[in-house]
Order: sequence, then C-alpha cells, then structure tokens
Amino acid sequence: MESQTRFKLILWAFILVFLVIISRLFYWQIIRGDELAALAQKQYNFVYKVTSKRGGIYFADKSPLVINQPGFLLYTNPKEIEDKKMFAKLLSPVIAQDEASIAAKLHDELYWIPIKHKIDEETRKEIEALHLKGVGFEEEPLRFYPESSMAAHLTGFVGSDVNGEGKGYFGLEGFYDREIRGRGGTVQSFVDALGRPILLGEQSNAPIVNGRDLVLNIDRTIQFMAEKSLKEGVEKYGAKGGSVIIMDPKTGGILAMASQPSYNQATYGDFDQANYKNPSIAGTYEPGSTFKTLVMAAALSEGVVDPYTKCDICDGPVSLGGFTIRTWNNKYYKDSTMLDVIEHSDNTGMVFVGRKLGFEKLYSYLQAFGIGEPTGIDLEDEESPFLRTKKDWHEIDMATATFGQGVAVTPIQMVRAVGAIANGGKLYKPYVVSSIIKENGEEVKIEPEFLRQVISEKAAKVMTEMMVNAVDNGEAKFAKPKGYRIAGKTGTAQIPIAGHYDPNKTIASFVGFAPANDPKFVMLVRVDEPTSSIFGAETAAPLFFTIARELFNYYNIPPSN
Amino acid sequence: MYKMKLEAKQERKRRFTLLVSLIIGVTVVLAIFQLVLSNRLASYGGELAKLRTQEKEFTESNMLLTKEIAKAGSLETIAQKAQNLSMTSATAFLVVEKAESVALLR
Repeated sequence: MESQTRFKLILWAFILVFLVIISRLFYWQIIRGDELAALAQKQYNFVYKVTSKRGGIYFADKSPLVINQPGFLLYTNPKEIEDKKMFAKLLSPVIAQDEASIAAKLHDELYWIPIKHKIDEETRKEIEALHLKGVGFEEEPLRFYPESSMAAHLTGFVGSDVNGEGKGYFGLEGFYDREIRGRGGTVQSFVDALGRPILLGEQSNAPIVNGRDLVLNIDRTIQFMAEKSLKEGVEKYGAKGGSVIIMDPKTGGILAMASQPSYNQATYGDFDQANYKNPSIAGTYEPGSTFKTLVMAAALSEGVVDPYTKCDICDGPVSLGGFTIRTWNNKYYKDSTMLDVIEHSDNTGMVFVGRKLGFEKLYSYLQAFGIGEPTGIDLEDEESPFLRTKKDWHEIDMATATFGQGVAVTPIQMVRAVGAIANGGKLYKPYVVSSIIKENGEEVKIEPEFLRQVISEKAAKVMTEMMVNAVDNGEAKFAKPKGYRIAGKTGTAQIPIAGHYDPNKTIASFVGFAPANDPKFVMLVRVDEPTSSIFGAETAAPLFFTIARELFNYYNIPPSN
Repeated sequence: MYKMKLEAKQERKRRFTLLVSLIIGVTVVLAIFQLVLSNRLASYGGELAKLRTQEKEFTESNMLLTKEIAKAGSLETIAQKAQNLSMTSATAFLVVEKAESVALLR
C-alpha cells in the first residue's frame, strides 16, 4: 500500500513537472515565439548597406576630370556627450558650422543625429584628433575634381535625392546619372555572439553594381585653354559673361565647352543657383550677323544666288511694312556682290537674299539646320527656343531673320549649324561622351550620329570661301593669325527687353572654323554685354583668334601661306 | 543442431554489435568533424573581419593616392608650377619646311 502511494506521488510529480514544462514551452514557443525568433535573427543576422561606387568622368586622354575620394557622414549620439556647449565649440571651426546650429541639433531624446554630410578624410582626421565622445562616421562617397572647377557646367554636380542618396544634377552627372551611379543594396551576413562574421555565406538583396565610367571627347588641354582665354577675355572686355564651344565638325564631338560666370562643383551650394545652368546649351540669344552664314548658305544651295550676284537694293535703307532696315554702320554699297554682303555684314543685302530665297525655302532650311529644335546633346537641361510657326511670320520677321534678328538660338545650335557648313553640308549631332566603360572593363564606343545633308557640298565650299573672305577683309582682320585660312563671321546682336532692343547692351559673337580647307575645329565665342566695345569684331573675334592661335600650335597646324 | 543454431545466433549478435559500433563510430567522427568545422568557422570569422577592415583601408588609401596623383598631374597644378618657374606661353613658332635646309633659315 505504501509503495502504491509512493508510486502515485511520483507519478503526479512527473505529471506536474511535465505540465509545467509543456506550459513553459507553450509560453516561449507559441506566445512569445515570434518575438524571440525576431530577437534571435537580430542577434545572428547582420544587415549592412553597400553603396555602389559612382563612376568617374575622364577626358579624351583618360586623365581624370571627376573621380571619387573617401567621404563620410559625421553623426553623433547626444546621450554620450557630457558637455554639449564644449562639444559644439570644438567641432564648429573644423566643420565650418556655427556653434549655435550644431548645439541646436543635439536633442537629448535622439540616439543618432547627422551633423554634417560629405566631409573628407582630412576633416575626419581633424575631428578624430579632438577625441570627442559620441561621435561616429559613416561612409558617404564624395566627388573629387582634380582640375578644380574646370568644366563645371559640363560635369554638373552630385547632390542628394529625397532619400539622401547621391544624385547627379545638371551636365553629365545629371544626364548619365543612371549609368554612373550604379546600383547599391543591402547585404545580409551571419555573426556570432561577439559580432564576428561567420563564414556561412552572404546574401545580397540584389546584385551590387558599381557605376560606369565616362570617357569624353573633351580634350583636357583645349578645355584648359578655352577656359583660361574666356576668363581673360571676359575681364578684358568688361563683359557680364561669355561662352566658348569648340567642336570637331566631322563627328560632332565636343572638344571644349566653357562658360562664365561659372561655379565650383565641390562647393556648389555656395554659388547662385542661376550659375548651374550651362549657357552653352540653355542660354538663348539672338545670333545677329553670325546667322547670315546660314541664310546665305541656304540661298547658295538653292542656286538663287552665287558669290557674284549683285544686290539691287543695297544702295540705301530698305523700307518694309513701316519699318526701315539699315546696315550696322549706316554705310551702303551699290551693286554689292554676295561676297561683299558677307564681308560688310550688310543687312540690306541679306534682305535681298531672303527675297530671292522665299519664305518657304528659308523656313525649311532653318529647320534643316536645326534651328528651333534641341540638338540632343548628351547634357542635362538643354533648352531650345521656339521657332515660330509659319502662320506667325510676317514680311518684316522674315527680313530681320535673314540677319539674325527676331530669331533665337542657343550657342550649341549655332555651332552645330555652322559645323555643317564646315563639313560639306553634313549635319552631325553634337555629343560629349565618346565611350562608356562598364564594370568589367568593356568599353562601349559611342559613334558619331549623322543627321542629314543640309546644304549641297558645293554650296558649303562656296560659303566657306565667302567666310574666309569675310575674315581676311572684314572688320576683325586686324586680329587674325597671319598665314592661316580661317572661315568665320562676326555677330553683334542687341538684347530684346520689354518689346524693344536695348541700345547699349549687346551679345557679341564670332563663329568660324579652321583650317578652312580641312577644318579641325568649329568654334563659337560669345561675349555677353561687353563694355569696352559693343561689337563682335572688337571683342568676340579677337578672343576667337587668340584661342585659334593656341589650337594651331597645339594641333601642329602650319600656316597655309 | 542446437550448437549450430547457437553459433548462428552468436554470429548475428556479433554482426549487430559491429554494425552498432560502426554507426556509433561514424556518428562520433561526424560530430567531431562538425565541431572542428564550427570551430574553424567561428575562428575564421575574426579573420574575415580583419580582412574586411584591411580591404576597406586599402581601398581608402588607394582612393587617396589616386586623388594625390590626379591633383599632382592636373593642368591647374602644372600651370601654377610653370608660372612659378617663370615660363611663358609660346607666342610665335617657327615652321620648318621640309624642302628647306634648317641651316639656311634665319
């Protein structure tokens, strides 16, 4: 009997223990199961973010224009800071932020506060030397510009998108952002209790791909020369700004593109946002007399004039619909030939050419030259002024358009159009990137894009000779490098303001190419509102010839006579 | 007859024991293997962490060196150095015609 009681007691004890274990297991595995599973996963799973390396941008000779440098985000945990005032005081001069704004960020209830983005290695070392408590760094890619602010309008800059990720804005950074930013992601790995990784393999949510590199058509030396000369020119002529575009007429490859005023890509936030836009592709202006080359080329191609056709209305001002069209210097030449018209930059002669050509033909040639449409250059934010529809043109509009008034263009449109004259009438799409280098090293070449034959080859040759004559005998002949055959044309356009033209402000320009018989480059120089002289022949043309002289030297082009 | 049955039974028993011993042996070997492997995985974790840190340091240092080289080779730096050495741009240059003797040129 006694043994039976003992047996029952033990049995109940076992049952009780069993029930306790079951209930405890139920508690841990069913009631708190999910929570514990999540906790466990948090302990052995380590997820970290991997940012893709942004691709570099290189000149045609593969020397770097934009590369990466180690960059960091400086953050802090305010709970670890003992003396917030001292913290802000010490940090302030190193990161160039005032003490008050640093102190204002240090909220006690937060554990992680970003203090400053994109600090470089040197600044990080300086901060580390302060031995501040509660300070940490996170990797954050940073751009480096070996040539300082060179080609700022071309490159654009890297800012942040809405998620705080690096994003390219303007120029190449903006246009090729998807190519050069790559694709980052998160990587999951397993760690032991001490946080050391365990070799059980890693899993990425998606393949992490670094950005691709861009190799440009831009020649480093030519870009340097163009920027230097432009800067000096703008200062010399007391101008508000200016632009230079140099293009290979045979391919449309952009060799240099410079504009003033410019900005520094590394410190873009310190500059006026108006400077971010590239005037070479977004700065619209009335081209003035440089436009005469396009209209005359169209007339030559149509066969309605030849270089020796005489103008029968050039002996005085031309009256038209209540307006009077005069020449720029109010001088008139009876029976001027077309050669003379271009040489003297004769507005009345161009009205004559326009009449010979007729509105329909003129309009279709302007379209063929690409006026009124974006060139499609591979830079962000290209703008194109609107070419009025045919029904909005009146006789006076057509007349003024023949000498570049009442029509608007961008510098890149003018360079492309004159490039067609330099290239036997063939119009090419301008482009900046010559190849893209993939992550595996494969180089993808970007071929020149031929668009259309705008004028006949013969007309292009004749027009070239007329432009050479204009340079040799025109207003700007004093500045021309001796012995070289340069085809070109000056332009002085007034600036339209509130329905009329400002009499004192002009945009002076010069467009041309050389050597005329086998052009190596086509170049446009634009000087905005020069004060030393308002005329293109006295500002933009000498600047053009200064750069051309350096280009002849650089390309080893000897004089032709 | 009885003896033969007994011997057969003993033989089966011996085979069974051998099989059990073999299974236990294999299990023990696998367990030791697992233990060694786990130990190696755990200890290599530290190595991996060190290698990762090293890789990061090398990448960073590589970037800094690339930056230094790029800066030293930039036209801006070269132009500055040339200016400090009082160098000036070529304003005129001589074109030598192939047919003409250099000695005859003035």
